[in-house]
Amino acid sequence: MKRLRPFIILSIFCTLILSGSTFAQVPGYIGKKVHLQGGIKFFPAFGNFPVNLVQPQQYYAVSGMNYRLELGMDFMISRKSSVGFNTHYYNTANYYNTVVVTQDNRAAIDGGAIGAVFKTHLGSWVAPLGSYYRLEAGALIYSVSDPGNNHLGTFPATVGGTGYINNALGRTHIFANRISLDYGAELGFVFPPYEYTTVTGNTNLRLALHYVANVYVKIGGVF
Amino acid sequence: MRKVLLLFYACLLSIPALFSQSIDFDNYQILKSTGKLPLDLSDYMKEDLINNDNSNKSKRTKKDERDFILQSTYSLNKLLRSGVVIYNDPVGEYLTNILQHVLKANAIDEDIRVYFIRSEEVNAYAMDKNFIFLTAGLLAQVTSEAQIAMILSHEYIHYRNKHSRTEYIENRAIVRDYRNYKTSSTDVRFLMASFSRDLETEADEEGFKLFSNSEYSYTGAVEAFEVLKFSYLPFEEIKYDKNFLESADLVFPQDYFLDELSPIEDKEDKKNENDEKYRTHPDIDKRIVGIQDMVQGKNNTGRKDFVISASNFQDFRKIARYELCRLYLIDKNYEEAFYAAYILLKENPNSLFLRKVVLRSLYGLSKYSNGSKFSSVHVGYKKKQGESQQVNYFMDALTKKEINYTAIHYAWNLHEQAKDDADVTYILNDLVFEACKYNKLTPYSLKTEHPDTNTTLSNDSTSVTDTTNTKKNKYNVIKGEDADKGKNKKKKVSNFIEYAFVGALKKDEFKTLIKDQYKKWEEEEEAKEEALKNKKKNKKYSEDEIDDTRDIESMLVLNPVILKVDMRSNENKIYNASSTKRKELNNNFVNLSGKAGITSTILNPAELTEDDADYLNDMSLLNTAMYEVLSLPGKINMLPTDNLDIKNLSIKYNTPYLANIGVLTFVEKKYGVALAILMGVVTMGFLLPYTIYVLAKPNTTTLVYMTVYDVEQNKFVFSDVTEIKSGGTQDLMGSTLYDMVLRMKKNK
Repeated sequence: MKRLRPFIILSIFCTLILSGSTFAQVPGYIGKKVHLQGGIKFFPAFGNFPVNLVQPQQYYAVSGMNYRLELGMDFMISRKSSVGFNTHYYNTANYYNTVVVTQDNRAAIDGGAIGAVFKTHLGSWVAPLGSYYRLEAGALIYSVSDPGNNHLGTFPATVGGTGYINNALGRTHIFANRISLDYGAELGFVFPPYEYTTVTGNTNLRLALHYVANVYVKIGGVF
Repeated sequence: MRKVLLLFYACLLSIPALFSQSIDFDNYQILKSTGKLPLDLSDYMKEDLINNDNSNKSKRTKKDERDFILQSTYSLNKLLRSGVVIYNDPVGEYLTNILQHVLKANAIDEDIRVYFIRSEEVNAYAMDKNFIFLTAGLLAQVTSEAQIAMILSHEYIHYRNKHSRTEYIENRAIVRDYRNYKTSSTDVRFLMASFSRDLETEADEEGFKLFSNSEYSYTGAVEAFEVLKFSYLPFEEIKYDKNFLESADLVFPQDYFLDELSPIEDKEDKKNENDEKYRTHPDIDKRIVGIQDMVQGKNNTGRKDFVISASNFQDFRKIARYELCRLYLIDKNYEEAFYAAYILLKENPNSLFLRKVVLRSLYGLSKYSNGSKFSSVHVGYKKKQGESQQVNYFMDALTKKEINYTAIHYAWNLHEQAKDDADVTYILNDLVFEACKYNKLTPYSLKTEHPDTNTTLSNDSTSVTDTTNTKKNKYNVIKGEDADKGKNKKKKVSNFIEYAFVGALKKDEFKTLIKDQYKKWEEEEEAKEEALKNKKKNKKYSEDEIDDTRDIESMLVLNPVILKVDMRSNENKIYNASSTKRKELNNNFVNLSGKAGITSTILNPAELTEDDADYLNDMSLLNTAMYEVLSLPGKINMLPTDNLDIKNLSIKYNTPYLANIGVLTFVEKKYGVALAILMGVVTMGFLLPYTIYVLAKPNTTTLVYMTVYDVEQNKFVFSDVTEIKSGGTQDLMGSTLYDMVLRMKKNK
């Protein structure tokens, strides 16, 4: 986490500087140049790659409940584009069943991410309204913990991190000149682990699959 | 009581008479609405709807009638608020008096009013409400009050017998039969036209009965149809004098004029029977014969051509003709405006208004000629008949340079006589500038002396005093009472135009004018070259340009156009936005432009009340001005016809910027929906995302446009159209228009 801190601070700093310098010259939505939004994404089932706390090289699992919460802010920098940042919090739990471990067990993955976002609106749309292409890149950290209810004993929490890139196509509607509704689909890429046969390696791989494809709905406001 | 009524009636009749004394035709001002405006139609509609509900008609007829009431009230409401109709003006009062005279003679006491409308068309309209509309084009053509009385009697029958309603319901029934395969599509057209012709015949016959009870002469009834028959000709047939635009320095070659003009042929003869089958009005010759039959045997003694006032008729017809000149200019019918002003100048040779019409016509022709768009405002002389053909032939014969120089020549002469007229000065400068730009005019290119002092030159033409033809109306001429054929051709002098300013060049003011405009042109060329070089150097958009903001603080906005065009069926359906949606957009636009630092005032006809005659006049002026400048081709910038009035309007609203905004939404047909659903089902949901995409993908395109015209610079300062693949929602309109306002302000 310490390793990533300078990068995170730099991304936020660059975003604010860039948006601040061009802030006064862009239309925004009827003069509103800040778009704050939050939303939820549900991971598709095929992303449920298990994290095996006992024997990380083995994998087989049934689906668990996965979700990702996001909160971000965009600043309009030109007629059709905006820059901003986006933060994620995600939580996923999977029940795994291995050949060796006969009982069901669970590994809980909690984590967060922060990324710089660049959006460009398609056609003649004026940001932040209408169809857009969105590029997000940033750092992702996670913690894998054991709830401690398996018969093999308690495992200590493992912390790791990696980088990610998201590409999205979406569309924003604005109601009553203030409230925004955003929806779209995204394709993501999480940098692969160095070693697959560790808990962090397994988690990394699992998250990579979680980030591959998503649909999302967000609500927010323009200010 | 009767005496009081008589006195009241006499007062009413005297209003036009009093007015006629105060008309200044030399400095004619366009007609304006005054007093209370009859805009509230809710009572009519309510009464109609209640009567319809209580009637014993079939359910279907009731529904058709209900639709008619709603549609006709909507259309009438739009027309009444459009600014085309003039209210409480002396011409309308006079026309109403003529109709009232006919009605009183038939013991009909009905509050029905006739309105004078600004239209070139030769026509009169009546709906089922007590309004009759008569166009400037028609009033300009008639030659007696009796003719107007016949036309108004005809229209009154349309109103009284509710012909528009009957026709609407009948047409619906015909279409329903077509849908049920009882008739073919060609039958539909024929049946509709046939029914309409029957109603016209009924209006002719019953209208004549009303007319015959009045004091008006029977010949007027027949002549009224002759007016309609020859309405495609100008309002008078007067020989065009070659020397009208000539002077001691400018003499046009003889071969620029036709030796023999095409005779006036009956256009009705050329129409074939098939055309006639589908016409909504009966053949005009048959109508004339019908009226002649009705008149036959009737005693015309003691009957009059004029009952209300012959002198008022002359004055009000003249007003219609002056109005027509303006309408021709606005519609860019420059040759017609030129000939109309030429005719009227015979009677009022010192009228500055008419001379400006001539100048504006030449200005328009020259501008279009220099912009290589001459054909869009010029009608080939072969399409014309009668004396006006000479004008079209003459304009055809002139080259681009000759038209430009002729216009300068006329503008200079007019400027000498009206030095303070801002319009004339502007047009003169603009014409000289154009001559430098397009026709190689330089301060030294013009001839300062004539080559041969013995050249025969015609008289100074600027004062047209030949009135030999003015006493004959066009119908006398058509009937062969005037014929002037055969001219001696002179040899064409190819460079005659170079000598057009020999006299003018003796004046320093003219020399300075050419030098100034030439310098202006040179500077413009240099600036263009400089801009081109800079563009090559800095291919990318320079940040400095963003700061090049315009100091726009306020705008006067024409009522926005919000239309939805449904293109999914074979026939495009056009829907006008509801008043709520329109109000929302108007409020939104005022707010958003306020945020961008611009105060917008929208002239909205929906906000008109009965006491807003001035507001209506302003709206009409703004409508006309925007129509005129927006219909100019891209390269051409011209001074609008009502320039001085528009400048006054801009002072009144404290802004030189006139804006026009609109939102057009096109809904197109979606293809492949069924296939996408089928694929989603057949693949057991595997292609469901594709199905959802096809179903959710909008097939709607919205065009948002905004143009801003600067009255002080006489040019557009901003023009933009944005096309977006989405429906015309409030968020889209707001966001796009705000962006446009901001870009306009930043001069991007």
